[in-house]
Order: sequence, then structure tokens, then C-alpha cells
Amino acid sequence: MKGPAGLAAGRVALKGVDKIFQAESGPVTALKDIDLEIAPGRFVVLLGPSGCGKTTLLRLIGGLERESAGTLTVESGGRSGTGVAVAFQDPRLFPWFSVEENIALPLRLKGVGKAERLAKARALCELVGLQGFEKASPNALSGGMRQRAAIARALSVDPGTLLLDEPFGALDAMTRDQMNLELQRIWMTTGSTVVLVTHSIAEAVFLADEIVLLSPRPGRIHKRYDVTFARPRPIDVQSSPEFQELVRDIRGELMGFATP
Amino acid sequence: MTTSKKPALWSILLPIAMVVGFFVGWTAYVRIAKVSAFILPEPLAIFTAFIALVQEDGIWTHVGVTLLETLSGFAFAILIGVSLGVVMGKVRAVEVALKPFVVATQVIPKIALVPLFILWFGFGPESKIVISAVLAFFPIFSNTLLGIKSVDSGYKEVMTVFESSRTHRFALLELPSALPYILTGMEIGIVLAIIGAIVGEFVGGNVGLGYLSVVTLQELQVDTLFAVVLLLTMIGLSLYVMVSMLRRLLVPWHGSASAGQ
Repeated sequence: MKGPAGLAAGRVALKGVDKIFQAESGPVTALKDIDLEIAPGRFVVLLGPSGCGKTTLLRLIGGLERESAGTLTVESGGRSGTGVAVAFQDPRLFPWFSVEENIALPLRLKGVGKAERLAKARALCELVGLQGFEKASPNALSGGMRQRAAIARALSVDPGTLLLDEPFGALDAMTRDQMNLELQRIWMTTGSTVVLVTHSIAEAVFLADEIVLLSPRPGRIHKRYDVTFARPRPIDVQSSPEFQELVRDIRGELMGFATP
Repeated sequence: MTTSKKPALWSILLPIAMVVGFFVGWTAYVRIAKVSAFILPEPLAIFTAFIALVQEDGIWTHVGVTLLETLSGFAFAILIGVSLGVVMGKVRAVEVALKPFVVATQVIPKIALVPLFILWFGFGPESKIVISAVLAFFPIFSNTLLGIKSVDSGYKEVMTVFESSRTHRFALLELPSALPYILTGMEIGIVLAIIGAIVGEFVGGNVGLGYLSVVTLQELQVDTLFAVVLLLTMIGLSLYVMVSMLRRLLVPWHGSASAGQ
């Protein structure tokens, strides 16, 4: 599958993946026997309570952790390298660079010339709604704008797979709704595969093609849901009965994990 | 004084009043207690001696030599301190291997080695440059090491995700991130570099402000000695301010750049 940018989207496949951390008190199994196939161009949301290993799973896909067992493959149509880009929970913008320099950083690391990478950064500023702030310092931006910049930075390499670790977790509810709408639009523009981690059920249902529900201790895939609302989804879709029903379903499952 | 709307006024006047009061008290003490001018001259006498000193032939040679020694020593301290700090911060094996030497350079009373440096490097400026560098080295080195080790792990992950080379990682992340720390080390280092040059001149040599202060003391020109100290203070302050200003130039993004104005 190809997005409008003409780049193939990434495919992610995990088979029997375990992740065990060596803690002082002994080994801790964070993830157990994960089988997951993510088709190119899909928007997949990893949902679950705290400590279910969803962030660990994302970090495995992003190459920031290594699996303890099983196989993990990320095939990507990205332009170079693994074609995987990550936007973290916190924006992690370098304060010594301007917004556009931050966004252009991954291209700089790949050896793209200054004029070309800054032109790309400016185009991305427009895509994520940061026009007029290209030269600003990240310190001068609001939390929501910083996260936009962080997402633009991830998009700069035209990644086949975009990994988002609760990128809007620290934002207020209104900004969050707005950012989710923007994210949907950006994803529809780029056509890349997206894996997003969240613990907000409404956010998951609103954004996802597919929700992967994880259960905690050890993290396992509990259940998967296909979400088929037509795109682009307006924010009002959240008040439709179908939406509410799915949210209720998932909440019921999550309640089941609560330790007595 | 009438009331002023500016809340900053008293915060300007108070320190000035304190300084003036200090000199008035000093003068009063010397006169009332009849302190000998060979022990403690009056501030006004020191000021007169200072004016005479800066008009003297050859004073600027002394100033120039001390400045040259200080700045050369400081430059070496930066070069060696930053390089070693970076290497030790990045390569664990080097850090472990050099640990005893680093602890030694910290705890050895370096001033006690000054006669030895004079013996090794002679009475010329070389020995003072070495002493200056040795004193200024440690704070620059240890702050660089701390800076390199304090690089945010989240930022490192950004570089990992985007497949940065080691060179890029150093130039675009580690160095800028450590720079505020390096500048802190340099602020401490420049003051120590001046002390190093002066102490070197005390012990051996025939030129420089340290030498001059020893000579004036031997000639019992205590007011001139104070004038030399005043001159040294002014040089020290200017150098320190210059190094501090680098902060606003090099790390305007860092909180420390706007602190302490």
C-alpha cells in the first residue's frame, strides 16, 4: 500500500515475542508471547492499563529494546534505514536548536544538505500547524506545539512506520481532541503505518483502525478490535451510539484486569 | 530622600552605601587606633598609590606578562580538561583506569608543588603557565565529565531512533548539552588560573604582578602592595566577567544564561 507521498508504508510482524527485564529483585516478564501482525498503512492503537507493557512493545518495534525471545521484523518502505520514527511521551526537542532545526535534525543525521532539509522542515511546520514558529526556540512553545514539532520531526524522514508513545498524554482534554483530529489528518496525508500507545479508551476508538488490548503482568495481547467508522472521523463521532458501545465494551474488559 | 516608585532603587543604593561605609569605617579605624601605615594604609593612600602605580613606566609589562601567563595556562587547562572530560565521560574503561590519577590531582595540595614546577620549567613564563594550567584544569575537567555524563537519556534515544553517527551524536547532542557545565568549570578555572600565575611569580621570577607585590612588600611600600592587589582584582574581575558573558553568547537557550544579572 502506498500513501500519497509515494512511499510504501511499513509492515510490522512479531511472533512469540517475550521481553524480560533483569530487575534487582529478579527477572520481570514485561511481555509474554506476543503475536502481532500490522499491515502496511494501518493505524493500530496499543491500549491497556499502566504496567501492561504497551510502551515496552512500542520500544521493541522502535529498536530501543531487544526482544528476549521470539522474532520481530519491521519491513519498511521508508526511504532509508529501518524507516521507523518515534515521537515520545515528552517532546524531547533540543533547546539549543530552533523549531525548524529540530524538525530537520533526522535529515541532518542522514546527511541531507542544509537548504533541502530546512525546506522540508518548513513544509512540515505547515503540515502540523506550526507556521510562523519555524525560527522560535522550543522553550517558547506551548506543550501542544512542542508535541506537534516532535511529530513533525518524526515525519521528516518519511518513515514507513510511525510510532507514537502517548504523545498527547500531558495535554489538556480540549487540546488533546484537537491534536487527535490533526493526527488523523496527518496520517491520512502521509499514508504511513502508525502504532500509537495510549491508556485513553476514547482516544483509541477515535483514532484506530485496529485496537490491540493488552492485559498486565505479564503483558499479553488480550483481545483485538477492528474499528470501522468512516474517515475522516469528525470529533462528533464520539457521541454516536456505536462509538459509545465500543468504548463500554472495552472498559468492561479493562475492569476485568483490576486486581481484587 | 523622597519616596520612589522604582522598587529597584534601594537595591542599588544599599550595596553602594555598604561599600562607602566600609571605607569610612576602615579610615576611622586606622586613624583612631593609630595603625601604622606599614601595617594598614588608609584607603585614600592606597588610591593615591594606585594612580601612581598605573602611571609608572614598566607597569604594563608586568600586567602583560601576568595576563599572558594566566591566559596561556587557562587555554591549556581548557584544552586538556575538556578533552579528558569528554573521553572519560564517554569511555567507561578510561574513566576507571584514570580514576586514581584524577583523585590524586584533586587532593594533592598543588601549591606545594610550585617550587618543583619552577625547578622543572625555569624562572621564565613557562613555569607559571604550567602552574596556572594545573590549577585551572581540575574544575574544567570535572565539570566537563559531569556534563557529558548528564546528557539526558531521552535525548540519547532520539539520536538512536534516527540512527545518528557517533560524530553527530557528539557534535549535536553531547557537546551542546555539556556546554553549560563546561562554562561553569571555566568560570572557576579562570580565577584559579590567575592565582596560579601570581603564586608562580611569588616563588620565582623577575617580572609580573606577583613578583611586583613581593618586591613592594620587601621595600615596605604597603600602600603600593595594596595598589597591586587592587590592580590584580580588577584584572581578575574583567576576566571573570568575560568568561561569564560567554554563557549568554554560547548557551542562550540554557536557564543559567539569564541568571545572576
